[in-house]
Amino acid sequence: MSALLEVRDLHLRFGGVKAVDGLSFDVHEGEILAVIGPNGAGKTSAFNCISGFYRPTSGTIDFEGRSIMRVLPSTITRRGMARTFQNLRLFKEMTVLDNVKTAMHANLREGFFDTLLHTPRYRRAEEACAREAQGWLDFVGFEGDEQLYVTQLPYGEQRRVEIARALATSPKLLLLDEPAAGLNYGEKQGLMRLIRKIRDLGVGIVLIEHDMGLVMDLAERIVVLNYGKEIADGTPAQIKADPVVIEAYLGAEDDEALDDTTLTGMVATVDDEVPPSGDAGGRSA
Amino acid sequence: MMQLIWNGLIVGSFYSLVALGYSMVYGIIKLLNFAHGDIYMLGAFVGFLVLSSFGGIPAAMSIPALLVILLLAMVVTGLIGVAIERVAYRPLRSSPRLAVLITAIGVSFTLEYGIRQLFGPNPRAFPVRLSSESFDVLGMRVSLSQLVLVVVAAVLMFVLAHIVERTREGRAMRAIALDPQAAHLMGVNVNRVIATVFFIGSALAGAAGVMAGAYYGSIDFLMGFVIGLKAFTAAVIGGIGNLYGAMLGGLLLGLLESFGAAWLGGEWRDVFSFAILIVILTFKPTGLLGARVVERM
Amino acid sequence: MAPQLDLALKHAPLRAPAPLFERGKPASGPRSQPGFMKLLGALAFAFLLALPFIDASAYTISIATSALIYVMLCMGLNVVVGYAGLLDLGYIAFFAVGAYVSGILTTVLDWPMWAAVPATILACVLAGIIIGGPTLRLRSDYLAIVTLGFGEIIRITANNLDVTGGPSGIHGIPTWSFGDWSFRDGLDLFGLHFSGTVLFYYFVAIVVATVGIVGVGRLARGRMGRAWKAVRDDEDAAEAMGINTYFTKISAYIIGAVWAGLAGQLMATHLTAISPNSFHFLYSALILMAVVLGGMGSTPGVIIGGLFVSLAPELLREFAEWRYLIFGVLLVVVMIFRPAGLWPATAVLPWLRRHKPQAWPATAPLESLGGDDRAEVGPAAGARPAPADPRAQDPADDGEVRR
Ligand SMILES: Nc1ncnc2c1ncn2[C@@H]1O[C@H](COP(=O)(O)OP(=O)(O)O)[C@@H](O)[C@H]1O
Ligand SMILES: [Mg+2]
Repeated sequence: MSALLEVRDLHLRFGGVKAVDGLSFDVHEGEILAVIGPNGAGKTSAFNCISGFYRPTSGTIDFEGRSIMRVLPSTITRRGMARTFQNLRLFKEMTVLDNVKTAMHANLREGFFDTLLHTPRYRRAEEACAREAQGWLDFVGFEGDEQLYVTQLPYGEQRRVEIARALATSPKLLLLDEPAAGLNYGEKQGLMRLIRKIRDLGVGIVLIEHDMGLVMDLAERIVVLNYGKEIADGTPAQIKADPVVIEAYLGAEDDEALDDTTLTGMVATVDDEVPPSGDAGGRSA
Repeated sequence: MMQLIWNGLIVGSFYSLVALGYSMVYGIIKLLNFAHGDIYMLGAFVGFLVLSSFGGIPAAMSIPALLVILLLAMVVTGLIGVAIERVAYRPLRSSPRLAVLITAIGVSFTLEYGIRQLFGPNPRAFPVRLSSESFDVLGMRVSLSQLVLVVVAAVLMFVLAHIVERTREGRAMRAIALDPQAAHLMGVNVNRVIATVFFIGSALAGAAGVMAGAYYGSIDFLMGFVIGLKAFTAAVIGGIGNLYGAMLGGLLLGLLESFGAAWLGGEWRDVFSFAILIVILTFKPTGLLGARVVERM
Repeated sequence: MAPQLDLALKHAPLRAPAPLFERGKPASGPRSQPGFMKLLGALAFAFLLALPFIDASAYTISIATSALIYVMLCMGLNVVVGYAGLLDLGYIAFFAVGAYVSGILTTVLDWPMWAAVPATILACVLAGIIIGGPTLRLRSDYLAIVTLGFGEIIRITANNLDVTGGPSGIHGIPTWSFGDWSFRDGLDLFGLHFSGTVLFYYFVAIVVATVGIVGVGRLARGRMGRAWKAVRDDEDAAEAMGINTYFTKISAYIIGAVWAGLAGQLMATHLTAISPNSFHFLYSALILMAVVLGGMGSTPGVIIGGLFVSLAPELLREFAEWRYLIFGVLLVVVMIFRPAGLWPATAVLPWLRRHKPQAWPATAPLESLGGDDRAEVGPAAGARPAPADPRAQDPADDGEVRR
């Protein structure tokens, strides 16, 4: 079976910064792939290329055998690739339910005049939409009040809603950018179960994550990035034993075997990203 | 022909001065300061107030007197600019863009209609007559006072360029424009630098206002509206956020307009420049000298 | 899921599992938020209908008519600014397009007013595409200033052209007529005589209430409205949800343009004469103020804002002189201290019954969560005690349970 997503020799440059410098990997249906690497390694930039927000400097990206280079992000989503953002990007002035309903936009048969005249088609579409959205909220284990505004939710719940929203686009491939960032231990365990549950639906998953314990547990394959370069690609066991990866993470002077907790601790301390600025405007594609 | 160029350059230098403030403020806090054109209007009114309190000024003294008043107006408008930033924009620095833009419109209305309440709705004659001595150069009629205006504008721009390129303050400005958070972490006093930028930008607009008052001879409370738009156009032509771009854009717009008005008729002058604005924003939104803006996700 | 609901979805490679349990219908009735708003709307509409019986003086009817036209304009701008988050500073230009197109068609070409409606709509859609097409790709603040420039272009063009009557504009615009009968003839009904102005007032009231207010409200709550708000809140995230943000913005822009065009047509009929001076930037700013002060994205807020902006100078003559200064200061103050406006879109009236979420039943199939997930997730878990069965709850509490 051919791969769901094929990335070949991806390069992205911002002025002099080589954010992504040669990245290739495949993802298959129902597979969990993790992308790891220190902060600034280019993981988010790679996601932004794949989901259409940045235009890569060179390389190819095929989704279900078709190129998605120079395709609008919204079109890529319609073809079946959904993503979440590293810095939660929910629609702040909408309710939880509306956030998820919004993601069904492309999938809903509801025309302009249906809405204006409240035709039976409108009622049917809205009912289906609400039901699906509620179904996804239940699926991700959101137990709060779906009529609240998202800003009223605790952080962990917002993360769940973001995943429900991505699922509501009806994806074949889901890109998760640091979904566990800021979650406590219990919440992380819940998230791991949720990710497996999504995989069991047949959805391919690409996961960016710093928590090495979580990654080693969850991922079937791991791609390691450092300074934009892909330095390793393999199973968790292979990655753990890979000297290049160990060196990249711990520095040349430290020859100790790679240990989950060390890694987790190391990376967690540098895990601060500039928060999104006040404006949500301008795309950078 | 040459006359069109000369007239274009004079008007263009006003545009440049106002565009500089627009561009600096935009460069540093990404705010389109709609009230900027009204600072230009305030400059003209400050000049008017000072001049009329002196009574008449002999024509021989008009140019030195004008220079003194220019400095005075620059200080006053500069301080007003700082006050506006402090009262209206600073509380909203982390608000959505829409909120800040709307506030800027509110400030613009406040200034325009505040002046209208003080000075009335009708145009006022600017109480200084520039001597109309003139001579012919290269087929252009150039009056001495026009020459003075252009030279003053050039000197102001030169001083500004020096400040931004060579001084500590200027370095801090450029740092904030690049990345306010990093600049803050590096110990730059962000509020102070932003206030400085507002002071300089507003002072330049105020200077342009005084000069325009003397050049056109009449001022009114809405005179800043159209020039605000034009100055924005100039800033965009040059590449917003880029100082040399603003200077270049102002002069270019002055020239284009001068030719456009001669070609289409004066009543289409403004339509012509706004059409230029729309065309540039459509096809080259980064302007002539603007860098490509990359935003973080 | 019921099969007819499947028809509502275009494709379904991945469908949500059914909700774990059926939620009750959202609350309705006069003490719920939507029910209360409906009631308020009906009362306001009844008042509009009764107004000519209370005071039928030409002056009252005239200012009431223009106030309603302002409300129509505000509802249109609310779509652009309030829902889609696009700052349009040249909005009055579309009002001008509507007024001039219908004015020219009815005076120069002698079309009846109703026939000018499709032409007005078409002209506004085109104008929206021409202006929005290139500019909506720009950053939001560039858009603001480009629309400002565009507003000036339209006004100056109307001032300079001959078809538009130059600075003096167009005079003698006829009122609505159907065949031989026009509003001017008045109407006798149930022994009451309705004069032409009153008939036109009723016409405006009905158009504004149904098309202007109810229409926009429905659009805002439907699929398109959700896309507008998504684009306003976070353009990148909206794009990631499969929403083509460019077309979404254009759609909001066009709706705004059409609403303004219809309002312009009504205004041309109402005043019988139009001139470029009626389309100054000031009016764009005034409408914007109405929307911002009332509350962006809030129908009741925007209506109140529109009525305030149009009626205040009439009712308070002193105020008329100072209004722009006051509005300017108000804009700054509101943005700093109450950015959501007088009646925010998210307002929940305190005396209404608050929506209560239904608790998860203890019988909900926890296994489907992959184990007892929720015991560990912190704040939400255990926050609400779960009754044995949602159906066992007091029905008055949550409304009826569906199916
Ligand atoms: N929009 C941008 N403009 C300029 N540089 C960028 C931009 N986005 C990311 N970068 C740079 O690209 C590199 C990779 O960043 P990123 O992809 O966010 O890393 P990661 O997600 O692995 O932490 C960093 O050096 C970062 O500064
Ligand atoms: Mg990242």
